[in-house]
Amino acid sequence: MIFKCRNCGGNTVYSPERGKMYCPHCESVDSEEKIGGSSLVQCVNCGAPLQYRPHTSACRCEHCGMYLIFDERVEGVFEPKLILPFYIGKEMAVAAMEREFSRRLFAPADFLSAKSLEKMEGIYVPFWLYDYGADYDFAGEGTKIRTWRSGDTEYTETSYFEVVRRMDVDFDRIPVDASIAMDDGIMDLMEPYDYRALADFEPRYMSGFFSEVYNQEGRKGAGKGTAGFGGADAGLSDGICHGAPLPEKPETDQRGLLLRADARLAVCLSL
Amino acid sequence: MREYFRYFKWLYIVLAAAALLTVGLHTGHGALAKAMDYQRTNTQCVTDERVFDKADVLTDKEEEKLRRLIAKREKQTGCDIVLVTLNEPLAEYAREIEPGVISEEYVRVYAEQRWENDGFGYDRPDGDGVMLVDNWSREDDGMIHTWLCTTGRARDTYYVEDIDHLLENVYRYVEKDPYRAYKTYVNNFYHDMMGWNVSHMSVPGFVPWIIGIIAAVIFAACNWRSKEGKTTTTATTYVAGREPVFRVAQDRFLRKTVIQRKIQTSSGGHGGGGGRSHGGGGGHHGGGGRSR
Repeated sequence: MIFKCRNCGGNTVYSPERGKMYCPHCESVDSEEKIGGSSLVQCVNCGAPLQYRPHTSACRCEHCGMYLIFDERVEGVFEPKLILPFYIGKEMAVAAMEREFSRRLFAPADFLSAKSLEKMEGIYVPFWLYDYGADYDFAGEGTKIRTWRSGDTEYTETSYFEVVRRMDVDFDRIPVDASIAMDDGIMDLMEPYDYRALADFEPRYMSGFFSEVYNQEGRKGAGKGTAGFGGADAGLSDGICHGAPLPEKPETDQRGLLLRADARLAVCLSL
Repeated sequence: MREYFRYFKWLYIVLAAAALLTVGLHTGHGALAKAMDYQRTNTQCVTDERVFDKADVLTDKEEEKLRRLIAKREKQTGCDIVLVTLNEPLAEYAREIEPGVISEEYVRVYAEQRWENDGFGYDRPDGDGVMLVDNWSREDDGMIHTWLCTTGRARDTYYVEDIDHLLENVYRYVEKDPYRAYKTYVNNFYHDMMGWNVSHMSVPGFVPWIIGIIAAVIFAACNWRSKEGKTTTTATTYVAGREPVFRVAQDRFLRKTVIQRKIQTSSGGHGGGGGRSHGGGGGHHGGGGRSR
């Protein structure tokens, strides 16, 4: 599908600054007209052959510049439930890049060149969100030590305790990226996302951006959000952990999601 | 490349200022040194010679170079600068003059006698000046002794630590390169008299390199660290309500142990430290010695 302007026939795109669809040709707002039908082989606007990556669900035609969304990759099993729309545009992203990297000595010389910045594109990255229920059971022996002096004698009193902790921990919407191309380490650094801005998925948010369909099963990284929740974090460093996350239990809720990748700057660059 | 210059601009400015200061001080130092031109007023000194190389550890050429250097430094400091090398036991000579003198100070007795007999002193006999006596002959104690004899303004200027420092610099080179050692003596004396040796700390040549390398490594490490992204989540970022719900939180007392330990108290005082003193055997000579 593509979104065209009813007024001028140009390509309307989602404008993060306005929070609305916008035509950069005639500057109309919310003038979009959705034109269905798409092909993975050729552009529905100009008929030119398309070059895209295997998991692309939205791209730009290199010939006519129209942003295309592949219907079959945003419908059915591939349809995300939620989307986190971009909230800064390219100009703000470029300004932020310059602010952040202009004084970085070891940044490549052409990192902020006009040519590099021109190529910067916004891309939506598919994610899985997990809800997790975990039971933790700690049992251990703790000590409390008290020392005092009386005359020329030093006393050390050691009290021993049986320490028992049982707790329920509910993890809510742990994001796990469903893209092979995106580096997991980098994606982790972008967290946490602002879930308050989550919206029900609508293809129009993708117009003007690139996107991928999910291409990695989320279960692989499903336990990551709970990894740091060990004995040390619970303040029981001497305790014994009997509990463990329960990945196969029904509490686990796997939901498709597209998170926009502008929260940090590195992944604004096109892949 | 322009980015690098811009990034380091403050470093360049500081370096440029330091370079300007260095050039200015060097120029000022040169100008001041040239301006210093003391006129010798001692007419009773029996010799114009300043380098008495009786141990023959210097070549003729080296002796000549030292004479020229001493002539220049004497005008700048207003002090006689005398160098004597010997290679003869001085025990008999010294004991004849000072019966109870110890072996370390045979050279002192010689230096003082020589100074007075020759009438050294820039302004008058026994006036301003310095004499280094380095006796290459081993005395009965198996040591080689050196003495720095100071009089007049030189004596007022030199404290024990200054003499130590000067003789240490001489001893650094004397075995391998006597000329360099005696040249160091003359130049060191000149700087001390001009008051430019504010600090006697000697910095080995490799130290600036080591400091530079360490600074570069720290700088690179800091910049490298700033490149790394920082973890933005914690263990509770995704925990509903931000904290776990405790079903059981129980601490049950089991037992208690008490250990007692006698504290040892120290008694008695500390012994006093040893000391070392320099100085001539009285009279108006100052100075200090060193042995190797």
